[in-house]
This record gives sequence, structure tokens and C-alpha cells, in this order.
Amino acid sequence: MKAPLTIKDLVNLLYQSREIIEMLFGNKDSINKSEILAREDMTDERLEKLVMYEIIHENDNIIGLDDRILTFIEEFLEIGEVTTSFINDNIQALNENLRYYRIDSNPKFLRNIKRSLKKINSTTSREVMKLHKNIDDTYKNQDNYLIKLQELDKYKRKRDDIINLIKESEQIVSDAQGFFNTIIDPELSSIVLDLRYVLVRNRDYLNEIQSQIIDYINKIQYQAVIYKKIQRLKELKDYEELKYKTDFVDVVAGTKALMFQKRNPLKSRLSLDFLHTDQGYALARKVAVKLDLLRNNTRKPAGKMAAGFDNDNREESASMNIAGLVEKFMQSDSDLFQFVMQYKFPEKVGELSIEKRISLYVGISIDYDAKLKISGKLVKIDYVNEKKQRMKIGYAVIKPAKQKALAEPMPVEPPAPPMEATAQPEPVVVKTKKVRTLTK
Amino acid sequence: MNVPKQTPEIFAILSRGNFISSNGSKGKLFDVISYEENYSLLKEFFSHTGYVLERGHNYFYFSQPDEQNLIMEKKLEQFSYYIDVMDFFSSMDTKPSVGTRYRVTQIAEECFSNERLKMKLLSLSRREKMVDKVAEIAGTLTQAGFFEQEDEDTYKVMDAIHYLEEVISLITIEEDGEQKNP
Repeated sequence: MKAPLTIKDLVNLLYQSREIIEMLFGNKDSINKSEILAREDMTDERLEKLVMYEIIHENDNIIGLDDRILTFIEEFLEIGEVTTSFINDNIQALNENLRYYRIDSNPKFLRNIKRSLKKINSTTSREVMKLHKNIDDTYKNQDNYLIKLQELDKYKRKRDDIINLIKESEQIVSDAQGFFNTIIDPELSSIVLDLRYVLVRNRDYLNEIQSQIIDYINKIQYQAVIYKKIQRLKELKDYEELKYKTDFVDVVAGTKALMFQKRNPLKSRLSLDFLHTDQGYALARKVAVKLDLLRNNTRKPAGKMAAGFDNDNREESASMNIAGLVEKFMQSDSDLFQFVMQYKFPEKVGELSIEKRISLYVGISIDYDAKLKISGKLVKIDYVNEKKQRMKIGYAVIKPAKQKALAEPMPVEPPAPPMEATAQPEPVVVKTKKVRTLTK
Repeated sequence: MNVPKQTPEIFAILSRGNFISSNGSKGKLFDVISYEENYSLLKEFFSHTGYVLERGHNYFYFSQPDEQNLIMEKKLEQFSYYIDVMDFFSSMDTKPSVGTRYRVTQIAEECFSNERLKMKLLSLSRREKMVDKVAEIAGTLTQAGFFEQEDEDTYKVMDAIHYLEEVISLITIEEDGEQKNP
């Protein structure tokens, strides 16, 4: 049977089951009996004992904290529902005690007065804090907007109630001020002073809360209007009237946000400079591995090239100012072959071999034949080529044309680079090789 | 000009036509933009790219004032899709206000029991299963930055939803004595 509980027993019992209480307080209405029993610190008997002392109650296999415990914790932690009844109770008590004390100045009544004043002070502050917390919480967490709206409305009314109670308290205190002055008690006057200050502060706070509630309600109502409008637009759309009964087209045309526009994702190219770096090489290698391109990767990157490996090419590609050369030749009086053979080329062109000079001679005679006078005379010279072979070259004497060049036919054969009419077989081989580069 | 170091990240998101909302996973970037002078700094900085950084109620986005190849039809089509979607969500018990969390299964459940919602949903997606339909719609909204996926099943409404609300509130409906929605 249930034995009556002493305070000590109760506190002990609460202490022993502190974990379970914390858990139940955190998860209101959603704990199963089996879940509780699965805990290590819980047995059937203990659960039964807690139920028997009405710390927890059991309903349809759902375990919950007893309402009194719940309220106690909420009160103490200043959470939970806002209630104005505490303030109201204290105001009534204050009134009564003031009346009694006027009749009989018993210190017992004075003590009660002081207690009521203090309690008004603390409960008012507490309720105001709770109100603020709850309003914020409702706005941010309540899912259903209809309930949200109604809850905020409820808090608005509560705020009005608290304001009224504060006014009432202020009235009582100021009415009794003269009476308080007759009582010589330093504690009383400090309590009264404190209370007055707290009441004023809470009133300011409540005014702030008021504007916040109104702001929240407006926002929600605005959204509600929007929802209705969306549904109306949808209705019009289903009737294919959207374009005619609304300025939908204009409004959407006016929206400038990027989201409604054609997206052109930015594409960038790989930086060539980057690919030349070691990181770039590593990256390229990674990709190659991924694409399975390194199956034959016995081949390593080639070693460093010898300095000047491409000097030969450079010589070929150093461009000659042939037009300038021809210009100079036009000024001179010698024949083209001798001119080209003896001309001192600038240093960057380097020393030209005889073969090159010959092909230069051929190139000029073809490209500039309009400016030249080909006399038709042949001169033969001997020379030793690179392979130490003695050779004979015959060339046509070409002079700068003072007037329009004679149409002296040179046996120009289109496909093969032409030779002078009298070129002998040996030099041909030498010349044809290089003509291409020089007549470019 | 000392732009924040997150600027490339911000640009990458916004230039895709996405939003940066305060209540999503991009909240940090939102804080960066709204920090002290950064908003005006970035606005100036991005103006050289032809995009205008815009501030909404707790969100940022890019706009492009001079749009050359404006594809009106596509834009209208897109927005009328959003009307359908918003109509669908605002017909549910849970309204799509900022911070609301939707569970795909829960929406599908609601559609099962509500014939009107079911009809709306059917016209919104061609997927076979109800859950897939809802997931598709939520996915589209997520891509546009109005929702954000929190886990496999849960989507959260972003601040950017205000953008749709703004556009909707701009539309004027001609009054012609037609019956109005209750």
C-alpha cells in the first residue's frame, strides 16, 4: 500500500529517478513503456513505485510525467505556458493583507504584505520572460500556420492581461504609498521601490513585445494573403485566363533575377602555362592514368635537348631581305651571279655556302625577272663543293635592267625549280635542294 | 578593393541563378555578404561582370539588367510552373513559409488522403509513384534554391521563397466581379 510521503522521501524519490524524469520532460507524450523498461536503471518494480507515488503516469502504454511535476519544473525553469493567475493571486493576497494590517498592525500581516510584494515582482518578470520566449518559439517553430496565428493571438491577449495586472499592482502600491510611509521598516521601502522599478521596466518590455507580436501576425497574415493569391492565380491559369486577366506577362518580363534567364555556365580553358608546370604534368598524368593511356609507359619523357640542336633550322629560317638585296644589285653594275657570290651578308644571316648563293641567284632570277636583263651570255666557272668534288658551273650573265627587261626566254619549267638555261648536270642536284626555301 | 576571400564561391553560386539564403547551409556566405560593408563592396565588384547583386529579405541573388536574348516564353513557362508548385504547397496543411520542413513521405501521405491535392500532384509530375512525384518537385525547388535537402527525406524551405512571394504579390488580378477564392 502507498505510505504517505514526507518531503525527504519525495526529494529522494525524485533524485533517484532524475534521469528518467529528465528524459520524460524532454520527450513529452512520446515515450513507450517498453522503451523505459529497456533502460538499465529501470525495473518493473521501480516503475510501479513511481506510478504509485504519481510521479509518472501510464496511459495506454505511453509513459508521461505527472502534471504536478511538469508544472513544478516548468515554473522553476521559467518555461512552459504563460499564466497570469499567479500574479493575480498575489495581488489578491496583497489587498487582503493590507486590509488586515490596517485593522490590526500585527507584524504577521506585514510579513505577508512583504511576501506578496516580492512575489508580484518575481512572477511578473517571470511571466513576461516566458511570454517573450513563447512568442518567438511559436513564430519560428509552429508548423501549421493557422495554429501559429491563433497562438500568437492568444499571446497578444495574455500580454494585455499582464499589462492590466501591472497597472493594477501599480495602482495598489501608489494608493498604499502613504500607508507604507507610516510603517517604519527599511526592508519594506526597498521592496516597494524595487517593485515599482521592475513594474515600469516590464511595462516597457511588454510594449516591445506587443510590437513584435503585431509584426509577426502581420507577416503571417501577409503570407496567408499570398497563399490565397497563389491559389487564385492557379485557378485562373487552369482556365487559361492568366494572360488576360492579370499582368502576369509584364511582371515576369520585368523580373531581372538570373534564375529565370537562360543560363550560360562559364567555361574556361586550361591554362597552357599551367600545363607546362610540374603540377600541370602531374595533372595530365593523372588524367592519362584514368583514361588508360599509359599502358606503354616504359617511355619516359625525353631528356633535355642538346643546346643549339636546332641551329641548322635556325639558319634556314633566318629570313633574308631579298628585296633589299635586289635593290642593292640594281644600284651596282656587276652581274647578278658575281654580285650574289661576293655579297657580304650581315652577321645574323651567317656565312652562306656556295650552294646557297647559287640557289639565291636562281631565286632572284625567277622572282625578279622583270627587273633583270638576261643577256644570254654564258660564263663558266670552276668550284669545289663540300665533298671536295671539282665542279663546273655555267651561269647566265644577268644585269640590272635599265628599261623593261627583254623577254629573253629562260627555260622555266614550272614543276621543277628552274635552272639557268645552261646549267650543267652536276650542279643541278645541289641547287634543287635548297631552291624551295629561298624562293619562299 | 579588398573583397572577401569567399567571393569566388559566392560568384559561382549566384551566377548559376541560385540564391544565398540565411537559413540554409550557405548561411555562412550570407553572413559574409551582409557583414559590414561587404554588400556594397561586392555589389560594386560584381557590377563589372554585368550582374547586379540584389538583396531580398534574408537572401541574396544576381540580376541582369540588360538581357539581350530574352527568351520570354521560357521565362513565362517557368514561372507558371512555380505557380503550380506554390499552389500545391500552399494547399497543404503545412504552408511553405520560411523554415518549414517537409518530409517527402509525409507530403505523399497527405496527398493520399486529400483528393484535391492528389489531383494537383498528378498534374505536376509524370513519375509513377507518389513519393517519387513529390521528390521530383522538391528536387526542382532545391535546384532553384528555394528548398534545401537536409537528409534523404527532409527538405527545408529557404528564405529565397520570399522571392517567389514577392513576384506573386506584384501580379495584379483584374477585378471583374468573378467569384473570388474564399
